[in-house]
Amino acid sequence: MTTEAVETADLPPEDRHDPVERRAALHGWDPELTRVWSAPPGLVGWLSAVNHKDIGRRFIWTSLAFLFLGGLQALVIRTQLAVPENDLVSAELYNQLFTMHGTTMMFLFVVPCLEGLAMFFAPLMIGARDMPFPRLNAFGYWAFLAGGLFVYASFFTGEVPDGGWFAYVPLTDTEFSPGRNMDFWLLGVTLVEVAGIVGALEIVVLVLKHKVPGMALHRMPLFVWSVLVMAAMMLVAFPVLLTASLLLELQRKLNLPFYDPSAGGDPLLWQHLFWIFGHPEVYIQFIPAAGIVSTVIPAFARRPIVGYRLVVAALVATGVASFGLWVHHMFATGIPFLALTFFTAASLLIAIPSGIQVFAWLATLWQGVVRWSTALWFVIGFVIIFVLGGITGVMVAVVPFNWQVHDSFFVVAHFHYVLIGGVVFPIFAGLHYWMPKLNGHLLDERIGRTTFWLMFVGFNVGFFPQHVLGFEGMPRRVYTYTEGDGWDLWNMVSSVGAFVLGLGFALFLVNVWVSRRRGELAGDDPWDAPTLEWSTTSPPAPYNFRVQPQVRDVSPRWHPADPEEDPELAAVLEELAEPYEGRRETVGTTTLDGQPNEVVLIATSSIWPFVVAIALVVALAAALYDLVVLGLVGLAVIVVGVVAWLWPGPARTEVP
Amino acid sequence: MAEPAGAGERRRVARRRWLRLAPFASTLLAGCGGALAPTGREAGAAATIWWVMFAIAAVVFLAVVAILVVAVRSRRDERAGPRTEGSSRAEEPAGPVRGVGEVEAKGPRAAGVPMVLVGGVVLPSVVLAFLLGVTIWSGDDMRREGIDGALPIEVVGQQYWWDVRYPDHDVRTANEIHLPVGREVVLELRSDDVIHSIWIPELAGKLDLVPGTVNRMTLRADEVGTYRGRCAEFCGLQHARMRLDVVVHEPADFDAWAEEASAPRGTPTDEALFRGWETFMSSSCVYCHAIEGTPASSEFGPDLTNLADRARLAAGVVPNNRGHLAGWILDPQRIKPGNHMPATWMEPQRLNELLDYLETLGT
Repeated sequence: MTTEAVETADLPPEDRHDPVERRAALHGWDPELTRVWSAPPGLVGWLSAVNHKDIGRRFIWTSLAFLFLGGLQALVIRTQLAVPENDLVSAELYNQLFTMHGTTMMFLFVVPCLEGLAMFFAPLMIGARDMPFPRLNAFGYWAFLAGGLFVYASFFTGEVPDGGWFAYVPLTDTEFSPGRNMDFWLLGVTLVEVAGIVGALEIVVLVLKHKVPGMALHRMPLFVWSVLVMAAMMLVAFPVLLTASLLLELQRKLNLPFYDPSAGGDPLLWQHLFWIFGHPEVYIQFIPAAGIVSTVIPAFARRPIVGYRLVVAALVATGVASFGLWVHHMFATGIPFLALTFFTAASLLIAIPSGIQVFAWLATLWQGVVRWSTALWFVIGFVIIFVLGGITGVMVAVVPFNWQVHDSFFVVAHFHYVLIGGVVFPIFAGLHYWMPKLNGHLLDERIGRTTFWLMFVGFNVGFFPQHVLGFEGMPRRVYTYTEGDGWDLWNMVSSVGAFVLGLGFALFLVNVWVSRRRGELAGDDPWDAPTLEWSTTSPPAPYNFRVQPQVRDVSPRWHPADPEEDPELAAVLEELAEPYEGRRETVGTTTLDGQPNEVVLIATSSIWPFVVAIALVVALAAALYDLVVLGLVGLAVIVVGVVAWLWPGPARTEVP
Repeated sequence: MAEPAGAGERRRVARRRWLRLAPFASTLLAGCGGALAPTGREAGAAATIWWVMFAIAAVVFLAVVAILVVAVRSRRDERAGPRTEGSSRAEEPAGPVRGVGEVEAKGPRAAGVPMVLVGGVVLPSVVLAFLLGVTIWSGDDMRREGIDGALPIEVVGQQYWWDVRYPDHDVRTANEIHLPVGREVVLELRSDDVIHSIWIPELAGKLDLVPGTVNRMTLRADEVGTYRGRCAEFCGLQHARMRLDVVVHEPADFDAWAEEASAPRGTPTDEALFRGWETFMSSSCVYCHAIEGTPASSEFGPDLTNLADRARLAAGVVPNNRGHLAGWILDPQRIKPGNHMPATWMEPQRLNELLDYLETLGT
């Protein structure tokens, strides 16, 4: 302790000079631990922050900002399609809008948002103090932000990507896309992928090594299981798209022939690579969303999930099987029918783990005593919409039917049912449930319920008619249609629904704003919830738990462990609450049964991850504009930055 | 049982109203043609599969929603919402007892894990195995190869139009496919630029046109009529306006059409028409277009031999009449921005002569 701390210890919080100490006193946090685990003050300190809650929060809010950008694009698209022969936007702008809408939602909203939730909550739920490699974590955020801004920078040069988020070759080769549009996409998305991969790496190590003592794999919260599966899948799937993008960029820049049939390449190679990434990507989004549902339902059904092991098996099975069905995006490409049937079988098979989860949720609600809240409303809405989307998903796996609806609005309806119903609704359930941990305030329940109904009704009015449009022959990605097509009515209905849905999203923002302004303080645990994140303050202290807890049950708040059972371990954990020479230390355990086996030293705040991410985006911009010197400068800064980042420094945190 | 007067009547009226809604509902689903109003063998099979799946889906969905409603309504905790520092529930004891106590107090309920296994594994397995069988059986039947007597038609996708050839009849046309009713047809699909996909919902599902490969699609049209086809794979700026008309004829009419469409067009003898011919042959038109029996033989753009017989211009975008044809020649980028036909300015006199000539290309 510094002398200043001693002098001011008796003053009321608002009179204290040291900002860290003021915060600690305000929330009732341990001043010493707070100082050790906090980022330095000021702008540089903000850019150097590595704490998982700071990074997680930034991921979540940045991705939500992208959600609103992508949503605005969707509203322009729906306005354009509301009436036939509309000239609100040109064909060119329309193609840019649907490309950016897909890219934004897939790469810049859903995955980063779920990764953010994982980074914020997974350490809290397993009782850890931080992510295992916090600097890598911070780098991931800056790379994600830079990649997102990189893609969006194309709006300022007028070369907005326009080849679809799926970027099929040859349309995206230089012959048919000579501008820099697709280069913006390829390079920016690659950067975002890198961010995703490093985040995934961290999550895997965190979950396998940093659970608190006693949290064996079979006692791990289902959300943590789900993000473990998600992260493992990302480690396999993302490098595939990274490679595919790299090959395409090489083809565009250096005229190499990977996808060019006239030079021995194959345009279908791109589709295979893209969907080997792209189909798991859908489950990378759905699995953690299902994890959120499996977290929210027990809290409001007042009992642990029914069939915990079945649900875990379902999560893992989904993750594995999702790598075996990419060809169902390519049923119409002319691949021999026998080969297609294998992918039909796999696509049908994956419905079973989803069925297990749905019935586990239903059974939990059935066996429990249901306590209502906005979060539960979103879960109910999720189940209804997701089941519909799952059913149409089974339908499109049936090849002869798929040939009719593939690339039609039926499929547009299907995957919005799965992605909005199956992913966005759970995310919103999670946000309403966890908001107290994010900012200390509860969201208003009344506004929350209105938000839910606007979203639920708006969504169904917006997307259900698109099934019909698909049957009526409306293909995807058309910027307009004629009166004679007979699609007027359902397009208008769909557009009205889209705006109601948009209103729901906007109301959520209002709710967040209201709650931050004058929302009720939540207390540690407003829901009497079963998992560990609720056993610390709202918002949690930088060090999460003064004494890291022990666990003996899958619902550790309902059946807490008795620390006296193992006095030796209790003493060690108590000792870790007194930071040794200002080090950031957390307990490490064995992977399977969570036996404590080490004390892990965690890296401190650092500006270098930020510097490296900026240098990386500068190098990519140089590649985009063929500026060799600037590119070399960027690479040099990256090398210097990484060396400085990894340079062994004093283990202790700087005390300002 | 006392029933208020008129209630039965009202119910009957309500039922009748409901009945009146039924055709409306089916119109909503299948009204404007499309995949659920099939007139071809392949589309018919797909539509049948849809109705079977729809029936299963309806049962599954309603069952899940019913279970959900019962599950969330049967045992409720009246204390809704969060416990905040200001609320009355702040005084309630927190912790382990509250967490599971309520459920334990009300006693356990049967059918936990068994419900998951039956609903999540057993029942879906039966349905999914059935659907896999349907897929294999019907799909194999729809993708037959080497059918005797099948009519081959080559379709080449171009940004943003369709080049159509009949090797058996020596016909080349564009943006229209003519078929004889009741006969098996094999579309041989190619692309010279980007990936396209052909979709005629009333007749068959999609198949992509992929550069560097030939895909074969079999179909059989069972009803005479005209159907709209569209490109279903995003192929660039004017993907939305890459359409085609499919005209299904009686066999005799089809033969007549093929004969007429392949007939060479001689040099007009009429002086005014000859000036139009001359305009065509001496302007940039010949760099891209072909007319059978004339010096114009470029295969870069659509074949114009039977232009006057086509219903629409610019790949199904505007009706084929004199006004639109004139507009299309003078400024195609206005009608379809981004298509590959350049604007051609010409004096009104020459344009009229050219149009006169073009209108003779057909029956």
